[in-house]
Amino acid sequence: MNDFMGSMSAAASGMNAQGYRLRLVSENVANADTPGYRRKTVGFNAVFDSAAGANRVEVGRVTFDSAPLEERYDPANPLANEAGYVQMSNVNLVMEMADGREANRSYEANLATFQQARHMYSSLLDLLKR
Amino acid sequence: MSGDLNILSMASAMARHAAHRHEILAQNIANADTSGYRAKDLEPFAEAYGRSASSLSVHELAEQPNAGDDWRVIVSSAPGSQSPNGNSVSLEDQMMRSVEAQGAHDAATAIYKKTIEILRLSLGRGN
Repeated sequence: MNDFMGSMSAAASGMNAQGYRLRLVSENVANADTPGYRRKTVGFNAVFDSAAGANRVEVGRVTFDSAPLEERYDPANPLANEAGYVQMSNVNLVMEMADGREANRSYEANLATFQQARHMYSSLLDLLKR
Repeated sequence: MSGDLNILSMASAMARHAAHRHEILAQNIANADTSGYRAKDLEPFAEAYGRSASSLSVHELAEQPNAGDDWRVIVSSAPGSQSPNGNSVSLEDQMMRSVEAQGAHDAATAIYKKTIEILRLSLGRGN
């Protein structure tokens, strides 16, 4: 396989993975006030894609954060237990923001790599245009 | 072709090396958040070319232009870039390296282009 295609496919798989991570971040933020919601997290794996003959990154299984759910005292809420507490989500907005920022930054790095590979490829093709 | 046109085979080997290095760096950047991933790099072109030039004769290189492309992949490390999850990719370091690879590729294609231009000029077909 062409080295540039390898670069571009690795960068594309990286963008795909970071985009997925960003999607989970926005799902968590959207559900920050949903009672009983557990924060979703995902890990990445380095894989060799034998069909394309390239090393890529793959999104792993989505897991739920096992941190304890936040308990809020609200006896009037229909979801409250006998003691008057409602179990809210375990989403920490600051953590989600940091995670989203990191995903964004990694996405941009992959995009820059993709553009570099494209630039190198086109400069190589320019040699033929003479 | 051998002898005088060695510069062309050297320039194309340099371009291939830069492209291959860029592929490895792209993999590093794609895996910037994969736990346990170690950043890789390709050995410098000068070392690899010196090794293949000493082991292969000019004629072998002329017959098989890709014979010298046995570049070694090395584990690269930027000081202080190790994350708690075992990942050793530093995006800033990788960006520097990939710009380096891009520059090497640009240089190689420029050398190739200029050499061809000089050859055309010497044949009296300037530009």
